[in-house]
Amino acid sequence: MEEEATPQEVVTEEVVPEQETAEAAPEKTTPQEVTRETAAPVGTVEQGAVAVIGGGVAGIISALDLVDSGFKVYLIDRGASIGGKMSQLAECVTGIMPMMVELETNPDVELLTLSEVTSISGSQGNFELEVARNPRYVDELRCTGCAQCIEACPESIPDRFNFGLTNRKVIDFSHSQPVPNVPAIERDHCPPDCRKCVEVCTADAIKLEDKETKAKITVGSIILSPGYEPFDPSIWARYKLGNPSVVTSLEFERMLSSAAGSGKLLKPDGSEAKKIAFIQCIGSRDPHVGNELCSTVCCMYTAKEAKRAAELNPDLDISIFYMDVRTFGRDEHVVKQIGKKYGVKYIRSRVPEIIEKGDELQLRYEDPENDEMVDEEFDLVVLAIGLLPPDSIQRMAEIAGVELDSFGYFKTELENPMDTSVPGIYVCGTAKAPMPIMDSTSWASGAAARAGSIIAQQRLVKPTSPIEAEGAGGRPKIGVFLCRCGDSISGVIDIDSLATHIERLPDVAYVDASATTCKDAAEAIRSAVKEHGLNRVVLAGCTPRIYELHFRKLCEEIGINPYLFEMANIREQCAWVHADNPDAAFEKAEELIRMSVARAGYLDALTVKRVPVVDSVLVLGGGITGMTAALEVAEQGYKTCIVEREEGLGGVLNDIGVLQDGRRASELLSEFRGKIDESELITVFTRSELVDLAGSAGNFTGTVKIPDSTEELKFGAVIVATGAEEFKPTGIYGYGERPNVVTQLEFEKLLDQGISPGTVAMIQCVGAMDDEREYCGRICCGTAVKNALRLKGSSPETEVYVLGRDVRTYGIWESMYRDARGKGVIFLRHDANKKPSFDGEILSTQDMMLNREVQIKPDYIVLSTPMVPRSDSETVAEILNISTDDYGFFVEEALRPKVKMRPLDSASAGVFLAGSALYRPRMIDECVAQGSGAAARALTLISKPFVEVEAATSVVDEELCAGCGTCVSVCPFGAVELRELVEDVNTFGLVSDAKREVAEVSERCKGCGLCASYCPSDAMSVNHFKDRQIFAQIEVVM
Amino acid sequence: MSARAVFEKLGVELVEIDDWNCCGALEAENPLVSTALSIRNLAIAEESGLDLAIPCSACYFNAIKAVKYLREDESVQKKLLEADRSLGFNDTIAPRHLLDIVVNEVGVEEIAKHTTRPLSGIKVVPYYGCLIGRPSDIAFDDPDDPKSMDALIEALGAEQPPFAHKATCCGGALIMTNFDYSMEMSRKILEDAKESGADCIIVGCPVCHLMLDGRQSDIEAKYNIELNIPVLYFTQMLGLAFGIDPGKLGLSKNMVSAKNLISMIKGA
Amino acid sequence: MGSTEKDTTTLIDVTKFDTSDYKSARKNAPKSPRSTTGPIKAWETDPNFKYEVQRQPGGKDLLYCYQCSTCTLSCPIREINPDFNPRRIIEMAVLGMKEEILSSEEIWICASCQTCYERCPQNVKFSEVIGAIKNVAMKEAQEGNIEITSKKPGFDGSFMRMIEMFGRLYEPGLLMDFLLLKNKDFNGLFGYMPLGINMFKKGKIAFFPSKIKGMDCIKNIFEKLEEE
Repeated sequence: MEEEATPQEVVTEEVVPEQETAEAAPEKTTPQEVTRETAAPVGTVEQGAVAVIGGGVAGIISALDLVDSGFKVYLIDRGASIGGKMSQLAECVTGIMPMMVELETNPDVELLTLSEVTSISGSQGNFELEVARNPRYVDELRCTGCAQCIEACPESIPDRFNFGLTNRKVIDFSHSQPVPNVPAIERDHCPPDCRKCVEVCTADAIKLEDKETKAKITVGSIILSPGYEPFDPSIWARYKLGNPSVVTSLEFERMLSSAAGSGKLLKPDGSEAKKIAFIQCIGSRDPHVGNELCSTVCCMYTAKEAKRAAELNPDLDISIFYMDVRTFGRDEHVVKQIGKKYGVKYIRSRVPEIIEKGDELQLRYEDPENDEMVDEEFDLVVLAIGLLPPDSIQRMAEIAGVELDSFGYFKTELENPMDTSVPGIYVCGTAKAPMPIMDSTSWASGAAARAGSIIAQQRLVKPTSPIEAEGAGGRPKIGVFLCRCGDSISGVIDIDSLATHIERLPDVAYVDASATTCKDAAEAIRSAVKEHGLNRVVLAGCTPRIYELHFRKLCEEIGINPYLFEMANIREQCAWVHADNPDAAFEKAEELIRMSVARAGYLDALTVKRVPVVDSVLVLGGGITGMTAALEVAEQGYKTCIVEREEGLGGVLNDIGVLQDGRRASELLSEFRGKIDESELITVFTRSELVDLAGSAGNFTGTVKIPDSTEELKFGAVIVATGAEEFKPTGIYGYGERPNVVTQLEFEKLLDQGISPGTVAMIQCVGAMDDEREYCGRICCGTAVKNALRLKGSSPETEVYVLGRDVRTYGIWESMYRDARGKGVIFLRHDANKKPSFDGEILSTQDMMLNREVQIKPDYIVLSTPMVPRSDSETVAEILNISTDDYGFFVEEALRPKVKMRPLDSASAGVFLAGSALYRPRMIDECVAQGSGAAARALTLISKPFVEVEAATSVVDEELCAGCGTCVSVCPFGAVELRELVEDVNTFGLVSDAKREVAEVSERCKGCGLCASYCPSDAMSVNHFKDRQIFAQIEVVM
Repeated sequence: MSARAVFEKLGVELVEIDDWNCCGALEAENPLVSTALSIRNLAIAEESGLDLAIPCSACYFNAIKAVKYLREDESVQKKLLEADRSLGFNDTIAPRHLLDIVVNEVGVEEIAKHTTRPLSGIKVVPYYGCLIGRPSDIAFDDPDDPKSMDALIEALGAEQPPFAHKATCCGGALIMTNFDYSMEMSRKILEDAKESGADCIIVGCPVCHLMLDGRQSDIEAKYNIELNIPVLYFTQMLGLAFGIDPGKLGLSKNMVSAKNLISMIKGA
Repeated sequence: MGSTEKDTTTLIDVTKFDTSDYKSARKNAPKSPRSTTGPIKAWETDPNFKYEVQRQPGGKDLLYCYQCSTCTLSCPIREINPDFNPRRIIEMAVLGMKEEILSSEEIWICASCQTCYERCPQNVKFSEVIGAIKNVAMKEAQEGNIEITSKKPGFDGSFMRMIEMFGRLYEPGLLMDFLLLKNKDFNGLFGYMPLGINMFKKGKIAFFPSKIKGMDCIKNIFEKLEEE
């Protein structure tokens, strides 16, 4: 079914005039305001710049937040491509790819790869860096990425990216989708006088005579994010690293990565793995080998790797040998799940040696319950290696003049976790302490906020004008671009053959099948649209979830309305899921593209509305997280309001006596309170609550109930830092009845009084990790250790027992755990099913390691309970239009992989989350980092003059609308309301000023389509998803 | 005996220290006494300015432990001097295991040069015992997979089958008190050596030698097995390869006869 | 020399079964008379015991143990006798089970192989800790607080006596002192004869003892340092 010409629907909206903008802006006389009021600010202010040293995930996120807030970034990395360790992890590369591509194409980012900083001079606001640029031997500007040089290269070397499991050529890409997408040459390995690559290069891009060059850059602040060094277990002969069936976890990630393609998990020798053992804590918690700390992430990544392996082959027999399981929050669920679903065994015993028995590997472990030593054979052993400070950290610390702490990481303070000892130089990621990706990214946002505060006056805000929906101009001329995606698509689907099919489709004016990467595709689109005068673009490649936004921006740049762009997913939905049936994959791909082409013919240009932003922030919650967020925003020159429910600021910290570094919490709090009092930009409402929130990102109106009345506040973003509270386990172990049974917070108060009891017993996991609350409270073991140490310090004769299932003192807390043991604190382990019991006099526990009952007569029992959400978190969530999980914690936008990269964003645009309220009770430095991080996220929104409103939203045909109100009741976002329409109606005569009700869609609309599908009059439809567009898709494949 | 002969051949002077005392082996439970005994020997050696070469792993262990103890705790040296004036050690010389000196000071190449009668035709496995590699913060070789004697065997031209028990304990410390444990532990070593096809074992410690050689017949009797595998102190093997007369190497003092072994060596 | 039937120093009569299969060793082994199975009552333990062990040279890192089992899994003695469990000994010491540990047979059968010292991730140095525990045991035995049934301290004592007397080990003297004088073990003594004669014939041991010259120093060492 074809139509001759597509009717153009031009939706016109009024562009908000300039004077309204000025009214909404606060009184300020900073150059930033000047930028806002004049039409073209370029050139009035020199744009502030930040140097980010280290291009792994932390550096990348910092860089993105900075350029998104109006600054320039120099992203410096040692390797030939940015991406760091994350690009080596099995599936993580898909998460980081879009961010890497965005950095590559953003004009405010300068990528300095193969570069190392050799000196830093100056001070905050004005640093001068000297950068040594190692030669790539390939000209980045000329290279087209055709890869002919690689084919022609005669010499192979082990591929470091794959840990030597495979080979690469001397000239090669560092991995399959590098940024920049240009190969590099390992010059030392070139055969003498060989010039094969030069000979085949048609772009004359290879420069074998290149030498090291030097660059000088001037920046206002610096972020250090060099990442970590994985522990090398080959120092121990007893782990038989020489055996190909013994691998490290990173090597295993590469094995899992290649298994994703083939569907089989193969050992390095090519055979299929059947029985796998994971050995935890290799190189961690081991002062003997020089690393006292717990690497925090290994238990979780092992659970993930085991899960991944089991998903590939459910028949795999997997055992995990551990000492303590450190999986926190809802990650605990994964551990349970792999046990139940795939039979993965967790065995508590360290394994000190691997014995080679023929083809198999023999592990010996202890079973204390049966007092046995068991020998078991496996065919693959994975060593869960720990994270160490990066090998470059000493040199970097010297060059930057920053201090390192006693563990070899960059030294920071508890309340300033991203600030190094040099003002203006900040740190984030695993160079600060071992941490998972989700924490690296939130700290990275925090570092961006810190770095931005130095150059806040030099923010360059580019004015953007709304996109008019111009007519798409006559007959559709569709350009179809096929991407090979490395060879992950073209390996299964014959792209060239597909192209010939596509060429025959109606309205297709041009087909390009050359692109192998997103960048190629972008280039192809750019040149073809111009050359062939295309007016619609269809991209057949990966999932639109990752790249649609990116390509829409590209269309905007080259003059095509972004809503005339359509994507067909032939990767996830065809090549990947039907990898074992290429014919079916081909057919499906062809159909999907056909559908997209048909739809493209009916697409309308839409206006992208841009609404002026209110450049202030509302912070909900005045605890340490909220205070940090407010201070951070204020430091960059924006107004914030803190809304706090209690009498005063401070939150849970008010109840804590002494912090882990020995200082009193009240000291810290008065510092923060002092800074807030001093700041002119922060308004504090105590004994107040937010009762309503209207509007959308950039333009919120909040109703706050203050002690005697209500206030209406206008702001652009919300930061939710409402925290959590300690669970009070009434009835458990006599809590609430017996005065000597207390919680940890209550015990802190007793310690302040200076008690000196004979015996104290602490019981862990009370009210957590059970049927009622499955999650691990994360901070309770650390808190118990802290309090036990404090007690032993003030009263050494007191006998302190800690009864737990595991001891989950992660990261630096492991060092405190060791100290506690050294002072004589006794840790007794019990099984989850055999909890300790108390009859009022005797506390009895079944000690797993001695396999005997131990009885204690404690003077105090301290119960370590988890933090639980505030009782009204559900209500708050509803007001804010965000979701909560089963327990009531707020949930971030759970879309993977975005959740790892943007852990502080909620599903509601403009609402950011931080601190313990966000499903992971946190230590103080983590809370502060998140507070700063949320501030950075909010700043990316409010630092821009406009916020873009989603154009693919619902639209009402007022003539058809009967005002029934069905749409209003089904809308989950509260985005539709009925309004009164006054018009002249002609029915049996003219009726003037007849009133009726019609629906009106507000900016809250997300385009979900519920209203349109329910509307009985067909008056409601969704832009970009009109009936005829959808019918076209369906009919073309029927 | 063999050490002397071998070092003579190598042209390295071995000065026996005058009036050495027993180091206390693994029996000295009082660490101060044990340290003092070793320090006495070290002090005598220090006077000559030469490093102290120690042919026995247990003595070596005591000596390096004593030095570590002295370095870590200043009061120890004071206490020692208070007990007797000759117990002063200034840490200017080092206690070295004889094997360490042969392999790392003299060097494998030098050994190879002096090998006039390569040991081709026999299979030799090295048995290190515990104290040549452990604890690795003070001992000189790898704790789990030591390689110094491996290098020697290779240099001497003998075949070396893989031997998993090269550094497991022989139980020598328990030889008088819990002999059954020692026998069990030594049996594992001897049987593994036999199974690997070795014609002889070389050791670096006289206590291990006593267990594997001296008590071999007892082990055979108790477990009703046949081993008959000669055990040589490593310098005895070096001596054979250097073409020194077996009489000068003290081979007749070994309990398990090495006569058969010698006849198997084909080298010129 | 087949005198193991008379060897009363060990708990398990190793000749009776194949010790290479320690599972069967476990089955047939009699329970150590020292390890009771009743509850450990914290108020009846000695919380100072762990600090006492710490004060001995070598014992100072005992408390850092986090019960990982590395030492136990590496111990060649544990392989033969499941009752010798280094990790458990440490935990019992930390829990203050002084009487149980000091009067047990197990603490005397460590072979000093140093594998635990080598591998312990927390640098507990178990081989030294057990030395410290043995020191405490001997002190307590001297004061008459406990009774030691293991023969090892006796043997160590005989060994040290020889050194004290001669400066070097006089093997026949050792046997006389240990087997004869201390244990009235005539059978044992005769059992050693064949080996002894053999060794004498090969010139490995001397018939008569000879003192070293520096006996004053040795005398000082034993007089002044042994009391510590």
